[in-house]
Amino acid sequence: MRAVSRIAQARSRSGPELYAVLIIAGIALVAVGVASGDFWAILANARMICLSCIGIQ
Amino acid sequence: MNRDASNTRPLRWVALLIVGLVAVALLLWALSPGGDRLVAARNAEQLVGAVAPDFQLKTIDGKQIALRDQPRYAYVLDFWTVSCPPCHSLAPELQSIHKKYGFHGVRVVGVNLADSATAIKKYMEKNGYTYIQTTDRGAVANAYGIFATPTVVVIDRKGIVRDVMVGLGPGWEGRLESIVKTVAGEK
Amino acid sequence: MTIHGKRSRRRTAIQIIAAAAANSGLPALKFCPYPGLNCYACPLASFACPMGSLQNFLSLRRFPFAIAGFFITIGATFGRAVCGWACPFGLFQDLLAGLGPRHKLVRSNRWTWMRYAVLIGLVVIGAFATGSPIFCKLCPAGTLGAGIPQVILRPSLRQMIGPLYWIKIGLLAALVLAAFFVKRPFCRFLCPLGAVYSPFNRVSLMRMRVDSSACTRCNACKGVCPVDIAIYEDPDSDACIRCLECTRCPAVSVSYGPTKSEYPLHTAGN
Repeated sequence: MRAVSRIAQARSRSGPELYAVLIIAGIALVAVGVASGDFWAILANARMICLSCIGIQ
Repeated sequence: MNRDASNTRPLRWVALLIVGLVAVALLLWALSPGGDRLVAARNAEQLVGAVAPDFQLKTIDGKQIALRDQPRYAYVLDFWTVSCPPCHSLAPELQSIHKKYGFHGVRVVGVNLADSATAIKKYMEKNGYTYIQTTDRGAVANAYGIFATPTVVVIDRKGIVRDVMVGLGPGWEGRLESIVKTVAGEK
Repeated sequence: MTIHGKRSRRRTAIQIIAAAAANSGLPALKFCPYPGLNCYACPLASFACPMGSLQNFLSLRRFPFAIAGFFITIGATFGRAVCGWACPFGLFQDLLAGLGPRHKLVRSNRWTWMRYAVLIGLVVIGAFATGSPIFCKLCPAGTLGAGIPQVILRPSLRQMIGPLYWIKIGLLAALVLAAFFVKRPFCRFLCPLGAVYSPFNRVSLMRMRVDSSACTRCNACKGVCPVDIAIYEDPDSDACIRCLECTRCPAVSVSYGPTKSEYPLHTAGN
């Protein structure tokens, strides 16, 4: 248990601000996705049922 | 240690977030165009025997084709995407119908629902297919109540939907060939 | 320390609201993935499935910018809280657990690495290599949300049922059976979406805290935990779904934002 704790503490020290960097990076990636038409591709895929995926055919 | 404070604050946060998401969802729905929102409305098979919804489609070569083009054509519409494996099994049959009945006024039209004209061209060239390919961003698919790919819609020269095939059921090749033969033979 | 009372009714209510929002019958939102696992082929689905969308991009050999950004943003904010609060399939398993016997089997989380194997093997490599969504073909959430209702709603599909359909039904049946006796078996051992969010538990804005001076390691937290972890062993555990059931113990709490030294971050071994 001590070992687990030490690892966890070591990792958590670098933790607190990393989430902010990641959130900004995530939003930036979503923006890149918008620019490259990702949401249109998601819609085109999502509105049709993949019959072979649900075991039909 | 204030137990209540540690318990309720984040819960309220999450609850508010979900309520917010639901509100945004409802707003987007209210503002969205198209009358296909209800599940019951989306069933292509109900079109058999009815007048085909009008369509205008742009081919991957930039030409326009429409249901009411003169002289009147019979249509075999294939709603498909590149990422749909059974659509690939259908394509050789469509190519053979195109070869056989193209001169009898039957237009075989691929209606692609997801891919770019470039990707479709590449697919057609790679496989040696020559039937018409068009792209649709949802308008025609919605009008026909398409809910799955591949869906094949056969329309006669009078503009009546004669058959709708969702997926590749047992004996689909014979069924498609026979209805196209009938439609091609009609005036 | 002990934990009194049943599981949070508020969480159940939020899970139900989230499941209803994901399956509201408003397909106008299908351009957007839902954060939890919810099949977009469900007749009422109003969002896209994030795993299905990811596999679609990979099978088209396109980099999934928007999906990656979506995962990173949600993971960095909430860690795996989506699993605990917003996933309809998680709710389904919680309800099954409630119907099963009180004493559950497989209390160890030794096999939880399998969900990373599912993510990398089936979702990423499988879709990229075969050009088809291999995980979807086995996904029990898809069978429950789409396979069964679509076949009921659209009789013309029945004649096309193939062997894969029955394999899928078998997998779902096995999982339902397991969920009576094991807490959230799919989430803990198999879910690739959980595997995506898991590593963010160590860095996310939303974090668990355990007060070392108050914790007696009585394991009451493990008893109420829907994924069978003892939070004091590792508050940042990648198995934790941030459901906050264990915060009913006064020694456990949740925090948002930069660490304030109200409590020491970790307690084990202190």
